[in-house]
Amino acid sequence: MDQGNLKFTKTHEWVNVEGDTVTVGITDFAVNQLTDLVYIELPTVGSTCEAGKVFGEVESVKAVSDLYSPVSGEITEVNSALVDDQSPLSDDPFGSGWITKVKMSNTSELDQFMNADEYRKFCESEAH
Amino acid sequence: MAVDEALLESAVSQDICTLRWYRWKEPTISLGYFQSNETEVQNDTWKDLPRVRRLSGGGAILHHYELTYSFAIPACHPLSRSLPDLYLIIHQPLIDALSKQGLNVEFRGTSVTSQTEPFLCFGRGDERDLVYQGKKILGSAQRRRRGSVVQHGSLLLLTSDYAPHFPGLLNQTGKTSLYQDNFLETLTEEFSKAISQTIDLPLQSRNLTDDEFAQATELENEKYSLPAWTSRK
Repeated sequence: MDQGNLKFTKTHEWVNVEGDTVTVGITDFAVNQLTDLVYIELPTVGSTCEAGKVFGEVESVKAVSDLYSPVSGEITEVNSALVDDQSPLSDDPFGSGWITKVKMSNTSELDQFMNADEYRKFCESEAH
Repeated sequence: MAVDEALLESAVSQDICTLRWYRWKEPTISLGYFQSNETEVQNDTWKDLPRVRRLSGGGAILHHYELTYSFAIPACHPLSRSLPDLYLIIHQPLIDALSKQGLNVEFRGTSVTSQTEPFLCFGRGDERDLVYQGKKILGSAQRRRRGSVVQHGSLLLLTSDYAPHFPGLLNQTGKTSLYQDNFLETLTEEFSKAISQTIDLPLQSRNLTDDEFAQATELENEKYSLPAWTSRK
């Protein structure tokens, strides 16, 4: 997926907008922070999610971290292959490592997200 | 476990950094967050032991003759940024404090991985574990929430009858007679001082705040004491 078309959050999720549906994943910066992933818990298809609220969890190096939903809406699809094999999250976080698809209930939530350039600068400031 | 989560919430909502030391009233198994409660449930040795599910990852801990610590650090502290480094940063002052007691432990240095991870944490091998002559005596795990972290871990002091294949530090060093309240108190004071110096924050002894106590009570009643939580996996 071309990162130039993606939008990014300060909590290191990315979204790809297709009409009123977004594909959601976590960025390479987030994956590098988490390192070796061993478990992931995904939301249920049909459940609702709320922007900024927890919608999943991952475990790496004995550390469990929350995943935050960037948008509000209904979960329409999850990448269930990740439950058995988390390697796409590390190997291809912007492609086959996608996590969920969400039908948005409030598209104006997208207005606050960063573009790729803004996100890169944000990550540089975070690293220092 | 409920108190540890309440301390994490204090880090998240009030930027409070807390170090806590505690022991368990009875031998108890704490499960890693993603571990199945069905694992080893029929094990003759462990089947009657109470179980609780932790908020953190990793393998199950058999809390018996050990010291448990938890360390909650807010997102605004730079040490909260790197997961693996926080293990090293907290474990190093423990090495230093144990050394002052003539107990010379070290980092394992290399990780041991296998297709099927052992149920018990002390059967697993992470490079950041503390070992005495190669035998694991301390392992830690973490939970992150909105950038804050609670890290907790277990220092195995005496060999438990429930897990005789994991020798305690004091058994290995021939100092089992040290396992008494005054020694454990001295040890936790030394650990606390050493960690305080390492993270460059002043040490101040305190009890739980009213909010923390209320939150821990609620978490215990509505989460940690419920079979639905323990058996969620």
